[in-house]
Amino acid sequence: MSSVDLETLRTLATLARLTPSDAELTRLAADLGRILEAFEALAQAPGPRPDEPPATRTRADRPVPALDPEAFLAAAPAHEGGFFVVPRTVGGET
Amino acid sequence: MVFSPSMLWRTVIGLEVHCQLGTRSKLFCPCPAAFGAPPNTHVCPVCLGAPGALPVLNREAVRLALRAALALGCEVDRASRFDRKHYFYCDLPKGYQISQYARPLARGGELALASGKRVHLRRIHLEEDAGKAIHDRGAHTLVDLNRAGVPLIEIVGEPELGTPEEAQDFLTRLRETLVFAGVSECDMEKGSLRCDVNVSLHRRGEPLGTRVELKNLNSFRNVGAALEREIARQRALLEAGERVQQETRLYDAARGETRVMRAKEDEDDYRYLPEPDLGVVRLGEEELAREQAALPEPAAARRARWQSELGLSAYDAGVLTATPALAEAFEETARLSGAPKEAANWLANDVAAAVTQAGAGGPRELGYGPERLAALIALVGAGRVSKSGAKDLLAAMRGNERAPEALLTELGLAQVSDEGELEAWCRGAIAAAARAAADVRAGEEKALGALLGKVMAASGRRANPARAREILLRLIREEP
Amino acid sequence: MSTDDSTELDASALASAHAQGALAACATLEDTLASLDALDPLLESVAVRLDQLARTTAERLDGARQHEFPAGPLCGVPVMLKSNLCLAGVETNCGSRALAGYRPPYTATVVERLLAAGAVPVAMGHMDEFAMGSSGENSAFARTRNPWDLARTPGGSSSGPAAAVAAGLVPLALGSDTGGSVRQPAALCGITGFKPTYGRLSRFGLVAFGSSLDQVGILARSVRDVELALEALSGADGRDATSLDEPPVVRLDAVRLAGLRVGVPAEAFGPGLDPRVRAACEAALERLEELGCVRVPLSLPSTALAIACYYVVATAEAASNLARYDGVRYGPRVAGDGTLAGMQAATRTAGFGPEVVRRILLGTYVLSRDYQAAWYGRATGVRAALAAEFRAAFERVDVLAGPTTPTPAFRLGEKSADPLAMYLSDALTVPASLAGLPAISVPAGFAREGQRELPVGLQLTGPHRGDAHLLAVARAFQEATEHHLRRPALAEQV
Repeated sequence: MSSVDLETLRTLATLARLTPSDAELTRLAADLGRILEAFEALAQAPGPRPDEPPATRTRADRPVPALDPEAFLAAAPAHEGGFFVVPRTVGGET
Repeated sequence: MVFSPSMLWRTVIGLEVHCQLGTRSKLFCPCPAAFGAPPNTHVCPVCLGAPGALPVLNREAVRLALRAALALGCEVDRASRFDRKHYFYCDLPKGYQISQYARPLARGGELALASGKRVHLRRIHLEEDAGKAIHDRGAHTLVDLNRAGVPLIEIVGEPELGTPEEAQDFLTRLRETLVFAGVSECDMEKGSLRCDVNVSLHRRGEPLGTRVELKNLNSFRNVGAALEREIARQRALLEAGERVQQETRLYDAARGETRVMRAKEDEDDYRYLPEPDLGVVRLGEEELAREQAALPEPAAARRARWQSELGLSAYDAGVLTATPALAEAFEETARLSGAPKEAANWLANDVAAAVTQAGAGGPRELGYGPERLAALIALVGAGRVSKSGAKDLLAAMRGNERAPEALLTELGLAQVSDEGELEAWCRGAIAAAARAAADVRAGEEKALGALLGKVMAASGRRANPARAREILLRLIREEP
Repeated sequence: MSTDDSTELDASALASAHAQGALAACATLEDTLASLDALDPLLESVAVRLDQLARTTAERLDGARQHEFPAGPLCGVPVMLKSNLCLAGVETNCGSRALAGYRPPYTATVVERLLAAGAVPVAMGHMDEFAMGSSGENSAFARTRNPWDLARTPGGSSSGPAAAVAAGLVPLALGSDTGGSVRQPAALCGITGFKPTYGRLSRFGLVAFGSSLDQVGILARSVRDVELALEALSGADGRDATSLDEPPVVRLDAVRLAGLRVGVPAEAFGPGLDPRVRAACEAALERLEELGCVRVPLSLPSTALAIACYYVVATAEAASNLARYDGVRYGPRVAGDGTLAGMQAATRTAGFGPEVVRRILLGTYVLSRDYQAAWYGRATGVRAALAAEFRAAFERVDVLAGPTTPTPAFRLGEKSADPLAMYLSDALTVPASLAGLPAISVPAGFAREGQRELPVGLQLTGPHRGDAHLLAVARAFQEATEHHLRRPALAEQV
């Protein structure tokens, strides 16, 4: 289970929105394989239940004025009429 | 009889409903949650996904979600959690949505349809909304993050609905329940209620068919129409011996058809991660009991009670539960006036129509608060204003702060019961319609209506019709 | 007091000199800026100079002194911020091309508190990209060097802040510590580096790497300076839901070392330990015993899995935290094939360096549907087991002690081609991170390396929320030793 084949790595890269070159992919597959092999003992470890985190801090429902859009739109790669602008895409998550 | 294969198909429909909680600020940051602001003006480092910003949970959102769960009879998790659901899209600032996956706020619950059928719920969880991507303006896609981070609950129903009508009724009942519990305004036009539908067909006695998910259903009518179309499409496929693909389809209301949005691929891997920036949402027994006790009476229960205890018609009871404001106005007006049927009559007809027409939040906004409506009902009951005069008075009360009684005098709408005045109008009517008077005298009481009409017209609708009727009869009988 | 002396003073001494009017904040600042001009070209510790902001701040502080406004506890103390701590309007690039030129629209809570305490921010410090690294070499912009030997790494990922404090450029710096990124460079640079209990310092405005591990850390020349800063910066923050619901940590009076139980985990002195590091730490432990401490040998068996556990949890969280760098809202954009997905992928691929890409892919792997239970799931279980072992240990001892790093500073380039070797160098610092415990590295001695001497750090770890006591113990050790007073002979190396 500690080897990562190129096909798996391509799928991971797609999920992570990364496009390494084929040469990089080959090198990364070797790196990840080696790292996971070194971590193999972890996968053999008995799996006790993780600790439950403490109760979360909450806040009251009091709106405060938002940021001035100028403060962040100016830093956007592309913006227009108060909107962020991205390449045209139809609806959907992919 | 010709054998029709379509008779063999059973339809299985399940609904997933997203409902915006009625908070003032967003789920994880204090930006206003209000609808309709100019683009990107309700945005801060948190909902912008700025590096280093962290979410902090709005406890009012938790309270409202809890209310929804209690109103729907769910089992509430005393220690629910948040997870990150990862996918990339331009309207998702952090590259993940904070949602509840492994430990939703509530499980189970059910909803009764109008038919009495009970539909089970699978779960209710809290999550943040994404922003809005606009595709139909210019050559690019525009992104507005005002909606990003607005609090939602997702309510997942079990696939137990059999027809588009049942699906629509489920939505109607669900909406009513949430609105009456004070959870949300559930306005589909503003996007505060959204619905995804999954539907499959299978033959009786065979396993369930392949599910298709329908999105972009922005009205109850579209839900029905889209389901009709999709069921027909699937049936045609199956009857042609073809297979239904598992996919997500968008409903195009303008064309009345569904089309593929994306295929459900194996790559759809959301890589859920327990949200490390937030702890457990702990709910105590005391808080649960307090919210349960504070839950307003559901609309269906009110309708049943009003019909059985107050004698209202099913129609009036239905109209009066259109909104919580109307229902509250009715309860209070009925109590103050001691005349529930009268109160129902006014509120279900003229007042409800006026509220709808004005787009008002409730009767009080128009000057039809319970005290004022009760005063109107009392004036009618005391014979101080005619039924028709009362309609004019109601119109005059709208947006006018003066007491109904003062308005009555001011507008000269006070009903005339003075014998002398009434007798003069009656004599005039008999003289003007001698033929009708003769008919009455001959025993045709129906003809009295025409005479009474003349009295009302001559009096400017102020004559007390009951007294006028008595006087007319006396005069006709007295005169040979 | 001559202005030549101000860079020799620690933060506590500077703050009180400024508060009493013995020294002007502006004069101290000019000394600091002059030493940055002179020495930083050798070190490459500074990512962004903040001269104008610093001068305005110092002038305001001096003005306030003239009007006898009360001085803050860090009055006029020049500080460096690791460049993953947001300061509104100032480039906070996290050592990454993905954030080159990025100026945050808000300021981190700890930075706000630092400014409120009267500190003067003079520079943003270089760091490994997104705090991923142990040598500084993963920075997209610099190769920061160790002032004790310019051919060696200062450690990482808080490389710039550690090097700057060690070289005497600033007396105080803020870094971040996810798996040792404050303690390890502090050890390699011969200074004091403290990672508080998880939640002690607000993470609001700290650019996230591994959210359940990230803590802001303090780098200084002495424990007393760490205590001074911690008091000013700690305390609950309503903008960080994971911040501890406790008041600021107040410095304790001197603790009695006599009878103090010092636990020494066998695993911390394993076979991979450099003999010089072993010797220095043994000597430090003996010094503690001379001071009356009781040495308690013990074992934390799960630390054997700590590196694997840490790299699974941290990369899973990193893959998640770094999803936001998609070219839509900020940062440089690369058009790619012209589609949205293509633009996002091209932007990310161009923005991230090789180590970040490696960790994102590793994190994506351990979270992906088919492998999540085996990797991420197991790691969270091991993490819980490790935390339980620590809890049990702290029923028997007051502090744990051991080396901070397996070796002294290694050569730049020595491990950069071997990610696994680099990961293993974090073995001694990640256990406290996984358990969320406070831990500090203090100078413990030196290792001879040819003509030079390289610093060695002793790591002291305390129980959950036991920050104040841990610091008091570390201070007592420091008051009984002189390792922290030695300075690198930077000028001689030129």
